[in-house]
Amino acid sequence: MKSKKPLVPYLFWMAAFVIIPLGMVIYYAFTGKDGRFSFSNFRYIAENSQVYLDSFLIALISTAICLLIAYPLALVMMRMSPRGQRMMNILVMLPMWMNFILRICSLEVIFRSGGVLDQILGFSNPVNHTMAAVVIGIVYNYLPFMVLPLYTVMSKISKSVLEAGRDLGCNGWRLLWKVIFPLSIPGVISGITMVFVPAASAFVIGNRLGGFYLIGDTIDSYYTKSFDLNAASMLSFVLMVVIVISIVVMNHFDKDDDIVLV
Amino acid sequence: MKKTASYLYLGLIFLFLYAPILLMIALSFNDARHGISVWQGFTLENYASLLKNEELMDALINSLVIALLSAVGACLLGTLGALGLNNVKKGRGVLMNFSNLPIINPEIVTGVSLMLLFIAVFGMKLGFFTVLLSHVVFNTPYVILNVMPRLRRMDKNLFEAALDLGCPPAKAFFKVVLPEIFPGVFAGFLISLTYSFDDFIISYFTGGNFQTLSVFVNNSMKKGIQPWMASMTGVIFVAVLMILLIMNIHDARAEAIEKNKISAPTPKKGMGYVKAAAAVLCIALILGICLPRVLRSDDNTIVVCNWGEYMSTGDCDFDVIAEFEKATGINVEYVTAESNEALYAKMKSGSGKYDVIFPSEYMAERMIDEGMLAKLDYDNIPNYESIMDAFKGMEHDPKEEYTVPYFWGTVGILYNADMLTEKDLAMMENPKDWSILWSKNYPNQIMMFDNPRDAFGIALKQLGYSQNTTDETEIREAAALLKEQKFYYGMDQFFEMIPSGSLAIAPYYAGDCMYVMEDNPDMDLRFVIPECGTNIFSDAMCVPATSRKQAQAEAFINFMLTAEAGKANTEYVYYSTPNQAVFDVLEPEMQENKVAYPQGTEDLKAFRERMTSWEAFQYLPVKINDLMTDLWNEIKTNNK
Amino acid sequence: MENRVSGTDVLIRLEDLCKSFDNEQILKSVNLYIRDKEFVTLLGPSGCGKTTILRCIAGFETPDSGNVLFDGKSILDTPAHERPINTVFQKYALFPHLNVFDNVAFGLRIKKTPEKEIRQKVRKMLAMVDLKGYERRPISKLSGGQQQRVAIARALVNMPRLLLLDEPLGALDLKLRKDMQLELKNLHRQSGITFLYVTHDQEEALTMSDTIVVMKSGTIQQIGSPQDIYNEPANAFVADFIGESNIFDARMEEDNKVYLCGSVFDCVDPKPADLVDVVIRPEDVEIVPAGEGTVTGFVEASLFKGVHYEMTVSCGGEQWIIHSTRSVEAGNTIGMRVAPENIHVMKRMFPTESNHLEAKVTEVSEEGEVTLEIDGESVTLPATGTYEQDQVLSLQIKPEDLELCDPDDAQFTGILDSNVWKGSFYEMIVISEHRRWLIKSQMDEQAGSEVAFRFATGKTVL
Repeated sequence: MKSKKPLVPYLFWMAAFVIIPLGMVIYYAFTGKDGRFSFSNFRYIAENSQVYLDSFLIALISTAICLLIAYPLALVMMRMSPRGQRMMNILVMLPMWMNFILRICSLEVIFRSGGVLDQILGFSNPVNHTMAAVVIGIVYNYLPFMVLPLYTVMSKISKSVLEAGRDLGCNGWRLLWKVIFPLSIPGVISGITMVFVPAASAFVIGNRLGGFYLIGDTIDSYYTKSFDLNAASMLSFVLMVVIVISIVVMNHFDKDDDIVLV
Repeated sequence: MKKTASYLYLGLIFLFLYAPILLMIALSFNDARHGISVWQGFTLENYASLLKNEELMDALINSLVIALLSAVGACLLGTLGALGLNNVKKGRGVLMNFSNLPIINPEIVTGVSLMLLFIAVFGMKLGFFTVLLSHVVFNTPYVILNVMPRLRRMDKNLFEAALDLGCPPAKAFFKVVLPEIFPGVFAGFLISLTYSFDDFIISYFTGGNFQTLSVFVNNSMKKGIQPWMASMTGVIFVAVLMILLIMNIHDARAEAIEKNKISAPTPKKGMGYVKAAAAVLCIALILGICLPRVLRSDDNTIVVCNWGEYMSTGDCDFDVIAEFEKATGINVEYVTAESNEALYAKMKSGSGKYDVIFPSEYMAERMIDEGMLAKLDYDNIPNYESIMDAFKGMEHDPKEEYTVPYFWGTVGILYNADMLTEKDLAMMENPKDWSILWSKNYPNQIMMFDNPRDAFGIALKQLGYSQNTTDETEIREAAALLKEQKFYYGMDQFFEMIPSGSLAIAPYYAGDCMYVMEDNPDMDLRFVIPECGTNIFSDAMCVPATSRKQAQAEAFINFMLTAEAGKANTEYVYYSTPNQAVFDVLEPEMQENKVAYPQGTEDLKAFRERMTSWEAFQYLPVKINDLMTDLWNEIKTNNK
Repeated sequence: MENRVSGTDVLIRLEDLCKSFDNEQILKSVNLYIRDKEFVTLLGPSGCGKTTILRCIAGFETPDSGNVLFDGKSILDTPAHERPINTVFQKYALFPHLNVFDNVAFGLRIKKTPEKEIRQKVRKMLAMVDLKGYERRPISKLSGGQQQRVAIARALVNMPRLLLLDEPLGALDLKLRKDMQLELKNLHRQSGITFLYVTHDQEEALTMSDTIVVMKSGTIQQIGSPQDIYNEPANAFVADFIGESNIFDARMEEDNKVYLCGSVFDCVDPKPADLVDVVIRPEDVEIVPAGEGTVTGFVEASLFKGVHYEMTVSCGGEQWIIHSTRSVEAGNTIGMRVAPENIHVMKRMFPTESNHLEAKVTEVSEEGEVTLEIDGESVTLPATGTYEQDQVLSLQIKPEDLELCDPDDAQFTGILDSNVWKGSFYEMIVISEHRRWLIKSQMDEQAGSEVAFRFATGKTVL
């Protein structure tokens, strides 16, 4: 069991399917159309700087909303009976099984002009094709990814710790702030990671619910509309660098090196 | 009080999470051929049609097989990785970060990077295996993350204890370590299944013409959200609910046994083996049934790549593919692509290998120019004779070597007369140009094509330029013009939003306009083509140069030219046929429809020669095309 | 070190066993043999390498050099699972997914023993460890002591030639530990299997073993019967580790006479060196009326300990511990006498009285300070003479002129190799990168830990 042998196939795998592909992205990002090394693709970053900002802004807002919604939910779940907790878990997980595209469709059916919401309201809803619709779409899609890590971490907080907190004079809010919150930080961090990353690179959601492109759609557009792998790679590369850096910085606040998951 | 509040809170959240799904399920009983968001009566037809939709079933099976296999693969690899990582002391943090890369990397980056790997490094054909590998890549970290804590919690001497008692290392692993970490492996397996089944982005980039459910749904949106998408949601919902409930009951039982509330069933000898064998058998059975379907690519199967909803196939009266298979014994693998550009990208990157494709004339021209199409053997396509003269030897294929026309059509403005002002209505009787699209009277009610070529085409016409201009300043002017109006960019939305009265004006393809007009006879919908000109398009059937089954492909093309197949397609798609034999058997009111056949009684060839402002797209130089994409991205990212 | 006579019945023999982890030498050329049916205990503080020896024998570790002979044949190339040796692990390492019966039957099933025979053997074994009727219990539902018994049963049922026990009683409470010690001894006798037992508990070792092997930082200090080890400890470390003792610095000028606490004691040992350590067990000090003994002491405290009284007596600046059935109240003056055969004289662990080292003068300052380079470290001290640049000084640093300090103020650091209370101070031997240091300290410190020290401030060192 001390043997590191099992690592060998795994490392090969990682090298072949994670490292080399990323190397390819970097290679394409720094080559021009003629296949020669070049910095010319930097112009795509300049051209799309606003899209990056918008995408990250939308991702941040959505992540914050997810956290605000999910945290109380996890708190409520934590206090339920084991049976109740299991039911809640199922209820949270189930929508994740609905296909991504189908989930987007269902929101579109609601929000678009003449859609279900308009029919109910009797006038055209103000959310359709706005940033708000995109944020709702992202929150809807990735909320379970916030709830599950939070709940996993919180359910592991032992009852005696909470009792000790109460014993030492913490009332409800202080118990939450002084005891539960610090203990739930690993869950908060992985929750943020699990929502922010896909949110920042969201693709399809922006175009279908908002009518505009986010950075994910832009990358796709360069690939499918002009088969410009260099532009797509450069934009992907920058997106990856920004996200990985922010994740690494954020994980700095956490001692454990694991991402807590379901 | 507190409890009520928290239950209220729970209720609200679950309402948010479930309302859209339940709504979709409710709408799955809606009796609507197109446009599901308006209730049109109860039916179960949408469920019955699922089974008849062979492409959908294929995509569903593909998704399930990929989910299952990739989860198994991820479990094997992830367990190995976790075992290895657990023994690393120095630099474990760094290795863990590397192993988490596929999770913290944006999916689109993973997708693009893997695509580059498969195409540029391995030179692989994108398809089943590349999707499978890719799914294993992003699932493995989840397995590791679930197995690692189990390994760490495990008594470090457990494995040694087994060796000590005489177990050889491999056996010791299976007898002692595996049972300990199994809950972690299983959790990883479930998560992998979930993420794999749900994935769209990575499958989209690495799939080539292999379609998972997500990709198929995405490509099928061409004519709006289909009723079967709603019923599919219902089916998945019920199936997943059942699985989760069964697991819940199992868990609850295990917990009760743990608490000694109920007595544990006396463990029968070898029950473990029976269970394991049953599980393996189940997986083997599922794979055994599904894999051949997934992997089938015998010599007698051709891959046909069409646009979504662009052929009378699936659940309809005359399934041209089924009829073709019946008539010739050749099997067809029918896949769909999103757009001409996407098709081109897939073929260029080598990720899509097809036998028959349906590019528009400008893309066919580009493909011919780049040697991507095979010269056809017209002897194998005797029905080519019945193609109208007007569509023979067109600019993109002047020598009639590569293409066979499939459909043609024009772009015009469809408007809802009830929503327009008097003045505008009068103006639209005979509009000089496209300026109505820039009217400020209809905020959010004017649609624009959600693709650069068509959108720029209209703007260029409005400015009085050619749609095929290669003048950068003219294109920049067009972009500026497009930016002036906050359009409702959409494609498939057209089919829902016109009938629901939420769009007043929409430029769209004539055939689709005609379809919507006929489908909504009680609405005052009118179609008009501005005087300053428009785009006249034709889509061609071609055989890619990479095809190894050209003869079968030509047989397919020939079959599409038969009067029966052509009629079925025309009645399904509503676009204009370039095939005289087909035209002759159409209903008279269709033949006389001015939207589909604006030439009226005039000879089509003469008519086309007369209408010089009606341009067919030509392919643009790469530089111009790239500029257009750049400007388009700028327009789209600013359309907030 | 090996001073037993090895017979023909040697079961296992370790030859020059060496093992390092991360450049730290855990085993330094260990030689040891174990006779068949013997109960041998490896005793030593944590980190002394005793568990590593066990793991080398079991096959979980491969020694860097040296050999492990089983029945005269090397077993280094035999993988762990093929060695006729079983282990009882420190935390039992029971298989949590199996019940008691299946745990015990595990080894037999691997050997493809007929199921009927397995049932018989397991039943018998469980009866032997008092776990009859527990067959179907899951492991998680057993107490610590019961788990311990299962672990022993699981190993013993295979009837190995050698049973390795790695601190098997460490996790149990005192009462249970005492009971299990007896049971283990019984099991040893009944089964006729050779036991190699690892512990850091000297009492456990003395109670159970036929032979005790005392270890310190990868080397064997002494091998012998419990009586030998207790009565004739080989050095101050062994004496300190085994039982309570009075250990003093002493001098010898001739055979059979030792100078200690300002008096001359008669002893029966020849002179090994000028400087010696003397070990006197507390129960060997005889209390006599003041003035009648070899030395006179003042009773500082007296505590009742059940069987005896423990008195702390100060005598010539040194502290003596005396165990006696007769109590003398604190505040009294007493005479003390020790029978010559109870005075154990041994060589010092550190050969000289002070630290000898060379230093190079690197800087002489105006303020009367001198900077020296010692072992590559730069040390500034108050000057007591005149020095020249680059002059090489030969220093003798007295152990009391070194003091432990905060790592931030340290001039040197090293690993504390041994730490023995010598009546009025702790005698510490510290191993730094370049040398061994002798330090006298009033502070206690855990042996094996990393310590920081410096030249004592306010003392004229040079």
